[in-house]
Amino acid sequence: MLISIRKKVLGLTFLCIFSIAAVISVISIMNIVSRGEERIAAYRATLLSEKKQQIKGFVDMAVGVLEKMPAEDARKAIKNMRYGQNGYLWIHDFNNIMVSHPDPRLEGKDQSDLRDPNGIYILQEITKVCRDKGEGYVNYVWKVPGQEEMKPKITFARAIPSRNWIIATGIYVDDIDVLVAKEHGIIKREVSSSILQYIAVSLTVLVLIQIVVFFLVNRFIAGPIEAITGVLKNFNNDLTITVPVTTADEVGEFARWFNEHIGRLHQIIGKVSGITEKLHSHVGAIASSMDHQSGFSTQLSSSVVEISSTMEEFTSTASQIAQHSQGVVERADKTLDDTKNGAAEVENLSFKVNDISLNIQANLSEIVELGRKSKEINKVMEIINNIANQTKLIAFNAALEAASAGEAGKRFGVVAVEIRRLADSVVESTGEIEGKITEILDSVNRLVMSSEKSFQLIQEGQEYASHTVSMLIESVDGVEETADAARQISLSTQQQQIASSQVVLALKDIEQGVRFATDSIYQTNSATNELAELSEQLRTLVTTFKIGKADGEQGTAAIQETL
Amino acid sequence: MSGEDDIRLELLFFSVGGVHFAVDSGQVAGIATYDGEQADDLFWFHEEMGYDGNSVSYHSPNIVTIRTGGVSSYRVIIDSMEDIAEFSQNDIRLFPPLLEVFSLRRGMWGVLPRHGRMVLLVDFKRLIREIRPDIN
Repeated sequence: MLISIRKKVLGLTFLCIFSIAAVISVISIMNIVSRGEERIAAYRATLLSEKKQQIKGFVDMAVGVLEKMPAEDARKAIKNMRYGQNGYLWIHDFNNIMVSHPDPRLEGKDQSDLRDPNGIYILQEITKVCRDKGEGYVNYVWKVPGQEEMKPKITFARAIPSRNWIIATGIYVDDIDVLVAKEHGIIKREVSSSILQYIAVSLTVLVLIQIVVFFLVNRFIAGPIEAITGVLKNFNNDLTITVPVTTADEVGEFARWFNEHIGRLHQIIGKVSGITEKLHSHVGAIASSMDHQSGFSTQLSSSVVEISSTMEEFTSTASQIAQHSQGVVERADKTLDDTKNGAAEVENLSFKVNDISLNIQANLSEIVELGRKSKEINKVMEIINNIANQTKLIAFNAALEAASAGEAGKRFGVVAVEIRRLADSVVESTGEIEGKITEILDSVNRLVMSSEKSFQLIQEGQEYASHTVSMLIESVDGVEETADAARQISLSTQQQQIASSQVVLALKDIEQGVRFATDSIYQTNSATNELAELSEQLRTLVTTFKIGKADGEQGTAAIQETL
Repeated sequence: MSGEDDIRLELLFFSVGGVHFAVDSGQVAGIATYDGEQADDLFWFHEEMGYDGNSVSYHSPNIVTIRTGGVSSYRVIIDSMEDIAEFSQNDIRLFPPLLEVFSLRRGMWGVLPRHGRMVLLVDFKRLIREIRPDIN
């Protein structure tokens, strides 16, 4: 809830005045009420004093009478005395025995136990007061004769020492309360009237004061502030405006300081405008540079990654080469040992081959001999075959002659046919034998050829073995050199592997550094972009201020000169 | 060659270069072993028959002496003599007239089926007349 200064001031003043008025009113009312109560108390006291004086006067009068009369007469006279409507006197002695009383039933009786509803022993109290002071008043309640209602009563008693009597009379004081109440009503009405008058006057004064305050607030507080507010409402970022200074108080000082600060702000905004322009141009250049750098960094990062990957492959390859070279070393050593063993084995083999060669030669001789004998058999078979062919030929000729002879040659022809068949069977058998012999000869030939070939191969093998032995012996040195070279290669490869691993680690560090740099560049680029946006926003904000003829231009020129 | 019906022929069977031939045994004067002889009256059968320039292998060459009836002799080297057997003329088949002209120039005058083969019948006398007119 918006509460204006005017309302606040008026409210405060109203509150203050009202509070003061209320306090004063309360105090005044309390005074009036207390005075009223005093009046009532005084009135009550006056009435009571009158009553007391009245009954004291009666007692004085009675005492005057008693002192002039004998006791009996005095007793009777007192008994018959009346005043007012129900006023009477009585006499009792210091032992509380009633001496004289309008009610004869009470005379001669001890009235020590006479007590009011509140527990006050009436005669005892009267006796005590008279004994102590000679006279006095006692308050108690007692019923009015002829009535049952208890009413407050005050009794005055005086001691008559000469007769050992106490004479007393009482008067009801309930009428005092009535009179006091009546007076109280009057006073109350007077107090109410006074209070109302007082309140009316206070309100009137309050209103008047509020009017005056309202005028003063308008004139010296709210008015100037509203004038300043009106100017500020239409500020519209126009730093050339000024607020009116119409007073010399705090408001005027506020307006004056506001004008001064607006002037300073005018200068500052002008400077900021110039700086913003320069900042915007520089940020653009930085952003462009960062873009280039970002691209370069990305390329560099990818190149480093490629190099790192290549080096890792190289390391892996070097590792494999190292392993293989180590394996080569081991195999070279093994080869050397195997070569030496091989040379020894080959030498042994050469000796064995030589033995085999000699054995084969012997077998070859036997086979050749077998072939020769087979050929001899073949020759015999040829002879037999020739004989069979000739026999067959003779049989054919015999058949021809038998045919030429006609009937006479038929039996001869039969013989010729049989002979031809025999010859055919011989030829057939010889042919089979020849075939077998041929097969044998072929096998022998093949065996001979194979044996000769084997002999040649063995010879060649023997030569190769000898040559191999000599080569193996020669190669032992070479293998030793190879093993040494392999060891050197293995060492070099291991060193290369270590170096490449270090290079890979270094490349990884470079890659990480490039990545960090790239990330930094990206962050810087992002910050630059944000900076560009902020500078643009700042420029936009600065242009919203009016600082001269062209917004920012005049101030910008001045600032540039200053810078 | 006897040309009368029901006449039985005594044929000498041989083969040269895988081709089976037969000749009347009456035309054969004798048979002898060939041992590499060379003579003016000695001819190779395959040359006489005009084999198509292919070389022919002789496994068991023999010389048959053909009865010429004249002063000159005519001997032919044959191969693989198989048998001398008698056949009826009815078993022999003559060449068709279209082929007979050409076959007779080489002395072949008929065909005899034997053991599932075609045996060509050769008349050496005709052959001599056709290709050795100088031999009489």
